[in-house]
Amino acid sequence: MARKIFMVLFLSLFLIVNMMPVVWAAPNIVELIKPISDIKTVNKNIIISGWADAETKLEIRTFSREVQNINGSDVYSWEEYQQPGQDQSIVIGPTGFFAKEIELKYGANKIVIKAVNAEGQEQTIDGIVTLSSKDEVREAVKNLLNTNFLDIIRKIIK
Amino acid sequence: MNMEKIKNLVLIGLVMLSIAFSIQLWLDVPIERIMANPNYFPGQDSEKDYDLSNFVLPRWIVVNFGGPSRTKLYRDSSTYRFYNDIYKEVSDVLLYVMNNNQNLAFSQVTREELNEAKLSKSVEVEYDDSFELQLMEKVFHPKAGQQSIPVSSIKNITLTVSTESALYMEDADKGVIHKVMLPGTYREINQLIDRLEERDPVKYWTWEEIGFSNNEFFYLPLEIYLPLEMSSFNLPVAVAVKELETEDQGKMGIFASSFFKDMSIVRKITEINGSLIYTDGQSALKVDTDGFVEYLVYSIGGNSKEQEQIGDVVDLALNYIDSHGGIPEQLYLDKIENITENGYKGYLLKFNYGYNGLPFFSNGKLTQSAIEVTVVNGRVVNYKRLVYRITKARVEQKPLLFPNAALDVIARRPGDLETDGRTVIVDMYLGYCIDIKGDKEYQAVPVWYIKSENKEFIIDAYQGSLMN
Repeated sequence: MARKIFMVLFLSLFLIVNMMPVVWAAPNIVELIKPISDIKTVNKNIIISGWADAETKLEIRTFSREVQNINGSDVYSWEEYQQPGQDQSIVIGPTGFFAKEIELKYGANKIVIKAVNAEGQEQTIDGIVTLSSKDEVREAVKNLLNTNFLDIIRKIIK
Repeated sequence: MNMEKIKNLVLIGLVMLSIAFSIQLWLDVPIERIMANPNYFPGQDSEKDYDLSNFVLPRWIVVNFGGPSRTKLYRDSSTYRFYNDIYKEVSDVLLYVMNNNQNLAFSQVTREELNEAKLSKSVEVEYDDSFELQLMEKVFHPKAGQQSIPVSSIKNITLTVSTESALYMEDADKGVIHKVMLPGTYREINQLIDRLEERDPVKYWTWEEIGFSNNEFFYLPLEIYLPLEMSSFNLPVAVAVKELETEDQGKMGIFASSFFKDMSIVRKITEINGSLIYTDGQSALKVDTDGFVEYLVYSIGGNSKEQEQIGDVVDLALNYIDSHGGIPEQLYLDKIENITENGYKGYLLKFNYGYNGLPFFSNGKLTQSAIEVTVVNGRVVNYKRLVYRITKARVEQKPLLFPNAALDVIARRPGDLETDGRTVIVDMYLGYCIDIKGDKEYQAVPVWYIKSENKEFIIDAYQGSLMN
C-alpha cells in the first residue's frame, strides 16, 4: 500500500515538474511572420513583420559582427548599428500588425526584438541573419557543383 | 514781382501734380487694361500645339529588379531623370509595337501570368485612367496608315527585359491583358535598371510580401506596392496660397475678361458671401472667395451630335486651360469621361497637378479634380478650376507614417469599416493635401490616400490624423 502511494506521489511530482517550464517560459507576445534565426540572404533589405496585441511596444535593434585582432587572435563582438533616420520603437495599433524594413550589413547580423505588452509582460526574440554578396553565393554554388558526391559517400562508407 | 512768384509757384505745383498723377496711372492701373493682351479674348485664343506626352503621363513607374525587389519612380526631383529616361525607353517600345503590329503576334494572358512576369527584371507603367487607343496614338504618333493594335484602351504597360522581352498591355475597359513578344534585347533599359539598382533606391513591397494579407480588417490587392523605409522620403510641408487674388477687383475683372468677348455687356454681381458672378446672358462665370472658379455656357447647340476625336478634344482643353488661368506646374490628365449634354455627346476631362511628383488633393474635395473641362461640339461648355500655388516649403525632421500605421488610423473608426467581412482597399498611395484653415496661407502636407470600395480617406502622413 505504501509502495502504491509512493508511486502515485512520484508520478504526480514528475508530471508537475515537467509542466513547470511551460509555466515559467516567456509569454508569446509577438508572432513573427517569418523567423529571424539562421537566415542567409543576398537581399540587403529584409522585412521584420508580425502580429501582437494593440498597445504592445516593440523595440527592434540590430547588431553587426565585428572582428578585432587582439594579441594575434580574432575576437568577435556585436556592434549595434542604427537604421538611418528610423525610430527603433513601434507601438502596435488596432490592426495588431507591425512591419519594419531592416538594412543589413554584410556578414552576420543579430536582430533583437523586445516586446512589452499593455500588461507589462516582456518577450525578447533574437536571431542571426547573414548577408552574403551575390558573388559569394555564386562561388559557393560553383564549389558545390564541382564536388564529387560519390567520393564523399565512399569516404563515409569506408 | 509778387505776382510772378505766385505764378511760378502755381506752375511748379501743377507740374508736381501731373508727375504724381502719372505715377499713379502707370503703377496702379494694370498694364493689361491699357494694352490688350490677345490671349485674354476668347475666339482669339492662340492655337498652340501641345505635346500631349507632357500631359498624358504615368502616375508612376515601378521598376522590378528581379524577385521581390522593386522601386517606384515619381516625377519628383530625386528620381526625375530615371523616370524620364525609363519612360522614354518604354514609349519607344510601345511606338515600335504600334508601327510593326502586323509583324507581331498578340496573345491574351491571365493576370497570374502577368504577375509572374513582373517578378522578373521589368518595368511597369501605370496611367491614372484607362486611356483610349486613339488618344495614345495621338500621344505617341505612330506612322499613319497602320492597322491599329488590337487594344481599345491602355491603363497599364509592363515591359519585361530579362531572358525574353515582352510587352504586356492591360485593357482595363475590357478586362483583358495583351502580350506581344519582342525581338532583340533591350540593352539601354537593362543598363538603366542596373544603374538605378546600384543607387539603392527605396524598396516597395506588396502586402503579401510584408505579411499583412491574413488580417481581419482589410483585404489588399497584390497590385498595391508600398514602401516601409519612410525616413527616405524627405517630403516637405509647404505653404500654399490661392491662385487668384479674389479680393482684388481689378485683377478679377481682367481674369473675367478672358471668358467674355465683350465686357461692356457683362454684369457683375457680388453675393453676400463675397463670391463674384459675371454674366452676359449667354454664359456665367462664378469665382468663390476660396478661389474656386466655375464657368458655364447656358445653352449647348451645334450642327453635329457626333462625338469628336479625343486627341483634338484634349488639345482644345489644354488651349483653354492655358488661356483661362494658365497651365499649372506638373499638370497631367487624370481621367476622361464620356458625357451627353442636351443630346450632344461630349467629354469631361479631369486634370490634376502634382507637387514633388505626388498628386494634389485640394481641401479633401476628392470627387473634384483641380481642373475639369467639359467639351461638347468643339466648344468648352463648362470649366471648373481650383488651383493653389506653393510659395515656400520646410523639411520635416521625422519619418512619414508607415502604411500599416495609416491603416490603423482607419481601423480606429469602426463606423468606417465593413461590418460584414474585411474592408477591401482598392488603392493606397502618397499624395499632398491642402488644409484650408486660415485666411490667405494654407498648409500643403504629405498624406496617405486610401480608397476602399465605399469610402476615401486622407491621412496626414506626419501627424497620423484624418483630414477629410
